Amino acid sequence: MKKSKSVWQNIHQDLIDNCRKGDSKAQFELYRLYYKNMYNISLRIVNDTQEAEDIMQEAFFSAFENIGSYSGQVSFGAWLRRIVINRSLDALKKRRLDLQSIDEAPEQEVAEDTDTDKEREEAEAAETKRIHRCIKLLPDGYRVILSLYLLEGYDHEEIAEITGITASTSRSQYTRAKNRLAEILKKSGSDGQS
Amino acid sequence: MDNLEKYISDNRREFDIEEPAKGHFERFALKLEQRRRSRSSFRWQHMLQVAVIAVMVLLSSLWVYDRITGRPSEYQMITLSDISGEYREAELYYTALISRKYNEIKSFDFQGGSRDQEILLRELSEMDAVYRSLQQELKLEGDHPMIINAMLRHYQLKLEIMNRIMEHLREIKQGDKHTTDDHETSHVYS
Repeated sequence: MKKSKSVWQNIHQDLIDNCRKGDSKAQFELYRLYYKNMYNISLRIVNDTQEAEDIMQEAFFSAFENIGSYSGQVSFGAWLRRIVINRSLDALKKRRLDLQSIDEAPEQEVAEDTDTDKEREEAEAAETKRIHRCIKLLPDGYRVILSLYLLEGYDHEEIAEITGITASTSRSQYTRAKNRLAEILKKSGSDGQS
Repeated sequence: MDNLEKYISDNRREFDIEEPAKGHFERFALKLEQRRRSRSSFRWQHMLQVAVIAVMVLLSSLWVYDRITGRPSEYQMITLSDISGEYREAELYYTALISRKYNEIKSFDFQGGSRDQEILLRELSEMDAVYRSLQQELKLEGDHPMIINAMLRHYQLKLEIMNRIMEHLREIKQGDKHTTDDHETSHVYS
């Protein structure tokens, strides 16, 4: 019934249907499937592991509670991602970081790799890992817009809608963010940039 | 789109390389369970609250209804009997007489057909509408002596009318006999 109605055919439609019934096993299964993507999305915005985990988990609960309003117009993942992004941006705003005053945001020091990062390094593509590390070094405003545009795949109109800045600001800030990232990459030594 | 942009957007999911701190599954499961429990107890509490409110609304509306009508609410209509024992006697006296007369009329042999009888009985019961409106007034105004008098007067009048009807019916019957007798004699003489 719901399946035929939804425009988007979800891969895990049966899980979503069971979630509507409040089945906690299905809820946990959805968490298992989506936590990593959602955690990384949140982390790219808030840049704080504890906060990102809290936001990600709260977003799941919010999604389960409001699953009745999920109409199937987009994929479940895209719907959940929007919740995660909104909550992450709210958290960022609470830290009184204004997206409009990006240039004033202090640039962070290069963070030391943790042990787990090093263990995983071999498995991950070295280049990806390097860019990822450099993205983390961007000031909040740059990092958010670059992540939303390049990694979450939103266009500038959508970013404007999500963040409350104008589309043209988003465009110009994105260009600056990208240039800054290139600079940091160069500074980070390796010239294996593709 | 330059190389850097292209590389990042082509390898989007590859950038999901961070893992939440160890034990996040357990933390999530715990929160899930806590929420499930608090929600079910909330639901139960909510239902209890609704039930309590429903009972209170019902009781208060009954109380208000009772206050407005000012009389025991089990009686839709109050009669003279509800006012005092004296009136109860009077009412019983009249209603007994009236129902006796009513039966007399009902069982009276209407030779001309039951249609006349029907009309008569219907008109008698229409008289009761007057009584009902008096009852209504009694309910609204309280035991006003004028209303009580009117009700008693209604019984008396009804009884009187019924007596007259009976008399009249007997006269007609008698008259009919005479006329038939006359017819017979005239027939004989003719």
